Amino acid sequence: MTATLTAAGRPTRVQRTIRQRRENVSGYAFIAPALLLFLLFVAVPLLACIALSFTSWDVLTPAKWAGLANYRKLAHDSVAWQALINTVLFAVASVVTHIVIGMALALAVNRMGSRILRYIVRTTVFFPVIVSWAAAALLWRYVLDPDFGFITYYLKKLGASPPAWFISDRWALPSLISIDLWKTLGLTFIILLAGLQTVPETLHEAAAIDGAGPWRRFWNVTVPMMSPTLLFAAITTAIGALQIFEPMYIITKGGPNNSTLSMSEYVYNTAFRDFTMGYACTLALCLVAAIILITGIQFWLSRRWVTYDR
Amino acid sequence: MPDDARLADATPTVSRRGFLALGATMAGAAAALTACGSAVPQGPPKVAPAGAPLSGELRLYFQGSAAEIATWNSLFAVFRKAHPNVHLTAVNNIGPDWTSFFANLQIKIAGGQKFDLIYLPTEGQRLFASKGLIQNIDPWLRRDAAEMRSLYQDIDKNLLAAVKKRTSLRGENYYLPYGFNTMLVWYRKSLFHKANLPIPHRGWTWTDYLSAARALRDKAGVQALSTTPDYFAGIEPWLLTNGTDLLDSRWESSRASTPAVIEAVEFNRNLIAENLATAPGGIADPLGQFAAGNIGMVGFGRWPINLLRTNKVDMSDIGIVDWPIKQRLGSPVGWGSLPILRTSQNKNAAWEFVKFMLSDAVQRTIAREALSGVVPARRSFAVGSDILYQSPADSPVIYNAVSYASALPAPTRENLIEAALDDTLRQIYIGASTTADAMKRLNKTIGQALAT
Repeated sequence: MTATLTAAGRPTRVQRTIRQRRENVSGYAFIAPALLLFLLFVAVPLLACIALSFTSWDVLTPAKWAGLANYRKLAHDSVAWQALINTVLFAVASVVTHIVIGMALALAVNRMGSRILRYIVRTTVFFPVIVSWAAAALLWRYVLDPDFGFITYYLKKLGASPPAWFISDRWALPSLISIDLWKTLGLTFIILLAGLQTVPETLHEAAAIDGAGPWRRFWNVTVPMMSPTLLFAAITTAIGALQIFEPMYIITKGGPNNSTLSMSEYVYNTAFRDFTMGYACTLALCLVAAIILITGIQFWLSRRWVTYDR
Repeated sequence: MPDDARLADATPTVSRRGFLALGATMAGAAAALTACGSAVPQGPPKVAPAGAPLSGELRLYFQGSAAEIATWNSLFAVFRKAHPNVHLTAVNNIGPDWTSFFANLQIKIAGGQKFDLIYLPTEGQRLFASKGLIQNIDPWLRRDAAEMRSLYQDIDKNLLAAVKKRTSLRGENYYLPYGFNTMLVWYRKSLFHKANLPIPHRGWTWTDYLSAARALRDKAGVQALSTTPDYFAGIEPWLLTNGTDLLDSRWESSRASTPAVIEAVEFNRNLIAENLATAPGGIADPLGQFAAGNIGMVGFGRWPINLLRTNKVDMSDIGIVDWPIKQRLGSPVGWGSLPILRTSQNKNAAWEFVKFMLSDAVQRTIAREALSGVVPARRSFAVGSDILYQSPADSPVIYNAVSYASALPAPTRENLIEAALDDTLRQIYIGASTTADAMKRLNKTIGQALAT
């Protein structure tokens, strides 16, 4: 040991190397569980998905090399494009409604004087998030039932002629967007509320002294200060919406006439109903590409409006 | 260092070796996944001599609740009296429809789960046979020819012919039906009396049906009937009684946009338009509503029996009658079978159990307990006293309908056709699309499904 110490007592190069190695081992040990799970459930399946997209495989018999056939099929598959358009429409509507309504609710709750009322509203808005999609779907099928649903009932009382919400190709997708909003708004709301509470009150006071009204303060103080939170909420909502599966699968099964078919449901149907796994992998990769592209666009646009200066 | 150079240094490069390693990982991952599929043995099965002692394990996979495992276990106990060294296990799948059952089954098989016998309805029989998953049973049929002849004499010839014609591939047989369902109109006698209606009889017409429905709505004050966008239990009986079907007789082309099909669909659409039935899209529960006495007439096979028993419905109030006709008597027929999987390691014992499903003991159980909600395949039990146990007096009508019934069209891609039909009928029934336009689109979809 003494041979490796300098006269000044500083660690030698050998000691530094040993310490570095120990730190490396510790670091790898700490990330090993996450790395293992990532490899097992993300990296390897993704690589397998890419490889399988060049095959024809029905799960039960060995896969056959198909070259680019699945990609050529995708180019001419009108159902896939409709599913992609439905998914993007759903995502855009979802991001806009979640951010606008979530922000409005967060602002309202943030200004509430009563702590109890704040607690009740927070819980009420967040509660649907913890309800399973199966239960939520059943609930809404009752609520919007064309014969005895209470919304139908009151609309009829008002003299309106309510549509068959989940069967009409004009109303099915808006119905699902609304149900998804009810179900998942709580998460966006909580994120935005947390972001709102980090905006320093002093900035509002300073702006008010300078003569800024509430609307001006909102746009010039609140929004810029919350822009990283808004970006985070928009990206997570968009990614979640692009992967939407449950309401379509449970409530409309992608109908009517594929008007609510989401890309995830189409991937599922192709993989586990049609058992054309190679093509399902191609569709899944198309969805991944769409998510990357849309998230990339969001980041690119964020350079114009997101500020990290505090 | 210039910025560009620094950037170039920071950009990860993929060496040739790295690229090959990535490719190998992808190929390995894909191979690992595809290797999940169990190898299907080739060559003819080893058929044991008749009467040879049997042993080993048998695993049966079926669609149903965990409670039904007890019923299967009771059958296993009877089977084991004759074959004490055979151990049987029933594994259930809970799913909303047959499509999900078929999907789960294929995933389980691909995942390496071993089953010897599976419950398969008509809808999936050609699919699984065409995938080479089902064992051809001809060697055992030949071995036990005398015994089978005796059993066949007790089964309706139309049913046997339908099974042979519809599920045989390359002239090979895969399935023996142990029970089946036809479609009949179940009605509430008390509601008919309340509406001053005569009891319907075989040969009644679509017009009679419509008149009865209107009277039930207006005079008895109940929901007259239920019409659903289903295939077997929904539109198929109407198509057959109108002298047509959704597919041609070889299940190779669609008839969805022919006048006779459109007429049957229009008839159903008008039933909803006249408020004789509820529109689809809600939480319809025709079976529960019928059991509660809130619907006058509903189309069923034999599956309501257990629910009616649970709800303690007065069976003397339930009538069952053949479907009303427009052109001719008609009903679809779908049968249940327990095929042997080709991957089974115990095929001789599995065959013995397949035969056992046609034994007196099992057929009596099916008749009395309504196992799987079907009618026993053997006439002796389907029209005798056993079928009347806690059941409507008209119950033998369900069996008798098989003599004129047609097999439910179930080509390999039946699941796609059924899903498309369901979607199309829903739109038609709510008036979102004209019948002709929607059926034209369906015709195209079915054509594509049949071509794949």
